[in-house]
Amino acid sequence: MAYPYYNYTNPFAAQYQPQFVQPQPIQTGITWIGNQGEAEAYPLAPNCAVALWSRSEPVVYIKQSDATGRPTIKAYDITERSASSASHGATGADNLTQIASEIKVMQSALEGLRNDIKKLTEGKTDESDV
Amino acid sequence: MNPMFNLQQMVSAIKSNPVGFLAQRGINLPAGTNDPNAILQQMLNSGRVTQDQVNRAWQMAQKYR
Repeated sequence: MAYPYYNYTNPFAAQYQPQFVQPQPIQTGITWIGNQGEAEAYPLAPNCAVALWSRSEPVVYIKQSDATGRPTIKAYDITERSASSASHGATGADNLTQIASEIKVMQSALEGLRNDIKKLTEGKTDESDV
Repeated sequence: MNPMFNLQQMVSAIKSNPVGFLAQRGINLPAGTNDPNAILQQMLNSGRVTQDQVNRAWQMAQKYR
């Protein structure tokens, strides 16, 4: 007598076979383009705007369209902020302190001049009165 | 279409006759529209696809360039 389950194959066996999983590309959310021509040809819905980053140079194209779908493109050059310009706020504060102290010095000098003029004027007035 | 479609067949079909391919799916475009950008623009204008979908498709495509 033959064993009835001898040729039995597990119908779920295929599920446990290792499968090659293709790595998915990472979505950065940045739309890169090659040149301005690609920016001009980039499809845009009416009343929309999209930022297109150049792959070859530090430029961002802002493409906008009005209600009729007519597109306009503006190109913006990107410049990296250096360490000196990043600390611009602190430099500005230092400058303000310096300017304030200079103003105080000038005020005291002006006060001295006023006193001198006053003395001279009073002397003249005394002479004219005589 | 066969649910077990062949992607290569689908790509070749849309490349050879994009307007006919889309018409089979209820997307009617002006005859002679063969430029992919023009097709996308038509679909954007008609609201068939959104700008976000186009942006994402573009971003995916650039990974394989």
